[in-house]
Amino acid sequence: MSVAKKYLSVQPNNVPSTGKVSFARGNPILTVTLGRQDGVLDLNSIRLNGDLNIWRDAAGTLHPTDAAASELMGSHKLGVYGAIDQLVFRHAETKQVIEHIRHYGRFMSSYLPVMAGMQDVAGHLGETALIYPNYQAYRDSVIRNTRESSFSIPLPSGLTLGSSVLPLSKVPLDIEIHLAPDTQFFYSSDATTANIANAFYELSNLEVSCEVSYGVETPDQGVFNFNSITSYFATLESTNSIINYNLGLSKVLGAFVNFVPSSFINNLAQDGFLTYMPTKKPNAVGTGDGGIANVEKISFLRNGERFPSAFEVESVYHPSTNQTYVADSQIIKGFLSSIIPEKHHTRTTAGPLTTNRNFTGNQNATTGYRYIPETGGVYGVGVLYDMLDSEGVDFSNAQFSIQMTTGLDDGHPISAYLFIKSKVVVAWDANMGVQVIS
Amino acid sequence: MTDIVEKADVSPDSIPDLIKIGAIPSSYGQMLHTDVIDPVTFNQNRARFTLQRVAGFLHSDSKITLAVTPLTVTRAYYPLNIGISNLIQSAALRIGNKTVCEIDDYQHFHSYQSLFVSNEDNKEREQYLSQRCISHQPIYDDRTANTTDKPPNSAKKVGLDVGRNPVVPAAGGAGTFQLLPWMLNNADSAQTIADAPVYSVYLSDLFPFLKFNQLPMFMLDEEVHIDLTFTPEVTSLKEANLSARMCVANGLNTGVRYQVNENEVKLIYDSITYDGDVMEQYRSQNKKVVFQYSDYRLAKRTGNEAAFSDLFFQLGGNGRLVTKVLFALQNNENFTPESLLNGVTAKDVPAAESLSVNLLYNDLYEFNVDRKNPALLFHTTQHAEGKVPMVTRDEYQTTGVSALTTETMEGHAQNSGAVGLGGLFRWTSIAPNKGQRVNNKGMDLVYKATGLAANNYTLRVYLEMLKVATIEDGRFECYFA
Repeated sequence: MSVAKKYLSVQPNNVPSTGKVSFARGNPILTVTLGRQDGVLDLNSIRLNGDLNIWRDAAGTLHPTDAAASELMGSHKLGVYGAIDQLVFRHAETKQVIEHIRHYGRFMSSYLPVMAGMQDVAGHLGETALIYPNYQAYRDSVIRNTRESSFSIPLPSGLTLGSSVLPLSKVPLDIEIHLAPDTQFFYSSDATTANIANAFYELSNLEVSCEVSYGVETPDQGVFNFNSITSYFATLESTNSIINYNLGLSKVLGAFVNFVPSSFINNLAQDGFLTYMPTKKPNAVGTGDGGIANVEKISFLRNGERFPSAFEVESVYHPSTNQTYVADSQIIKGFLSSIIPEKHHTRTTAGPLTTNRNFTGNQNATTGYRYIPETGGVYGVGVLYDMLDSEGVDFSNAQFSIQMTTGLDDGHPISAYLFIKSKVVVAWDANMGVQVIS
Repeated sequence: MTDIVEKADVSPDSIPDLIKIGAIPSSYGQMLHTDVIDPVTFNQNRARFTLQRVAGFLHSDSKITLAVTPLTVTRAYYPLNIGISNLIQSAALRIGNKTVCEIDDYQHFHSYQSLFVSNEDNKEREQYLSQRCISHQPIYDDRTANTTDKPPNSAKKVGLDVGRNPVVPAAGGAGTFQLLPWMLNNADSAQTIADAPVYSVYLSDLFPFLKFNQLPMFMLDEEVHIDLTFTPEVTSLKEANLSARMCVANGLNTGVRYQVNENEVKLIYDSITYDGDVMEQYRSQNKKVVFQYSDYRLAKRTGNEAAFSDLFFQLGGNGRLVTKVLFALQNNENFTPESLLNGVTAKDVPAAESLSVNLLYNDLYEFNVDRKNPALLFHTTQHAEGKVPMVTRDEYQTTGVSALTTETMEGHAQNSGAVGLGGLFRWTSIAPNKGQRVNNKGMDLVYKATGLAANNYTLRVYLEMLKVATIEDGRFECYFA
């Protein structure tokens, strides 16, 4: 038989007496402590379990229906992950940070559709994460559910996906979950918010479950490696769109960017988890304009030199010679590879239906972004530095840049969320805590 | 012999473990022979195949083909989740007079196994091989113009996808789905009778240990028997004399006594042999072959709805190494051929009710608190099996607002919990993780299903237990580990 194990079910430290947690009612942060104990934690087994309720009134007594708060929508490609804004793993006693992923919802809004196929989102992800294959299915089954929707989700991160075990007797762990504001979690089907201004989401019966092995001898010191995610934020406003950062990371494996109009972020009227192409400004009533600001050329640079490719990637679209609507296979391929190397990539919902140019940033037009079929827009740009997932590229003293030529000629600000996948090493000591070496 | 020595990964001194699937280097010279064998005995209740001493290793993907003879014009098909395996009520593998592996109520066990076949495999492979066809698609039901609440690309529901578009009235409205024509059994003409589909069952599904081990038949002096017991022609669980072997389209004859077609019952037996003296070398290096495998024992309890509201069920497993416990509840109401699954289901509790479970053995509970969050129990099953159950939320549990479409498949509403798929895949599996042998008190299952509708139910619990097999001097022995 295998090593002796046991299950732990740990409730968050800061749940109010009602047992209900929501951003709207002043509980924006959940902390779960896996305290010092004689056990080795299987990091892959960590899951957040609970129930999700959607309320349309401030009292939290009425669910949305097709007659009341009918405009209320949520991100069907994220499901309950839309409620997580930041994820932090800390040493439970010294509070030293092991991993901190900001903009978690934005990260997952690219990660999940890229990694899950249609049968996953129509199937098991609905049971565990409340993810559905169409915006209407999510609205009917989760937003308008007449009772709670139970969920049980893993918390994808470098720590939980990369390293295998953690000796809790030496490194007790805090898991900190920052909840997303309701204005980010929800959006409106017609850009009006009068009927949904009081809507909020509420979590209950929360617990973190995990599996620990016990009776296992562990050393007093050790190291573990994992692929961490670091996020950056930039705003693009012109046709020559440039992103520059000193990453300070020595083993960079890949980088990707997803886009959303800045006005959509934390805006109840619009989907803040949209991952479509940069778009121009829609008109005041949201029925016109808002067309695609096409990415025409893109190059990734290291210290001002194009790297790893020594050439620009040109889009299939050209403003004067080829105003095509089709998907841009080379840019999409680079984006997908930056999240997962091609040889490991077997399932995805990114495809011609979800990456084409047929849609706009208008909410009310029939070409509006919310009508993108299946999992919605799955667009981004990205670069893979290390297809072997080995030591990556050193950006500790080198500048990272992306140069894009886009159609953003109307000054409409577009937010670009940059996510860097890099290798980090965490050294831990029973007495000294942890040290992250990136 | 010379040929073998020249290969880098093969030498006379080190022959790899040929019975273990995956342990054989790809450059190893391997030959595959296929024989088609008829049953040595056959009647409408059972069939037996006997393998005399043959060369090589029994390939795990060897198959048994089965079919029925269409008797009426009724459109009939096998349950969509298990396909042709619905004909098999129990299967046993015997070597000499020893039972190596035996599974009772196999069709129910197979419905658990089939949860883990990916939907893509079901659509693209299994619906041709076994008629398992659980695969999903968004249902773009905006079949009329942009009326209220029906915006473009609206797919409010999820439904089955067998590769055939629904029939939709010209004026719009609900679509009706049907199976592909060749999947149907009916006796419209001599042609349709002759064209009745023949499907197959993998030996490694009938005897799951064959997924990991292949039997060295050339080392066995005893006869190997495969015994199949067929599902009865009719059942009276719901009403008297309802067909048990097939499903039928809505409104058609439910009392047909389908007959297994003896002419199509064959064992397609694949055997693997290796180059030159490798086989003899293997035999001489392994005078005594010992391997570990899993066998399954069924514990079954029948009662009315009250019997399962707070059940403490003794499962057995005394003194055994139990590696997995899997269980599901069947409702007698579902045993009707006028449905998509004909009773081979795993019934969930109603939407506002709860199912909580736990496992007690060696005076310790597996979970410190009974688990009742359905999503967590879904994950518990995934964790136990190491694979994801490929079913939708609304097939697994009965929810407040089902995302399964109300549009019909062969006339049966797909979201229905009575004749469709809704809440009928609620299998739960637990892998005991304490690493302990079960003591002489055995295992107990805590099963609390509240609010079940008034009816009779059966709880089926399978215990996966470790056994040890030895082959020595041509004789096979097995015992519980």
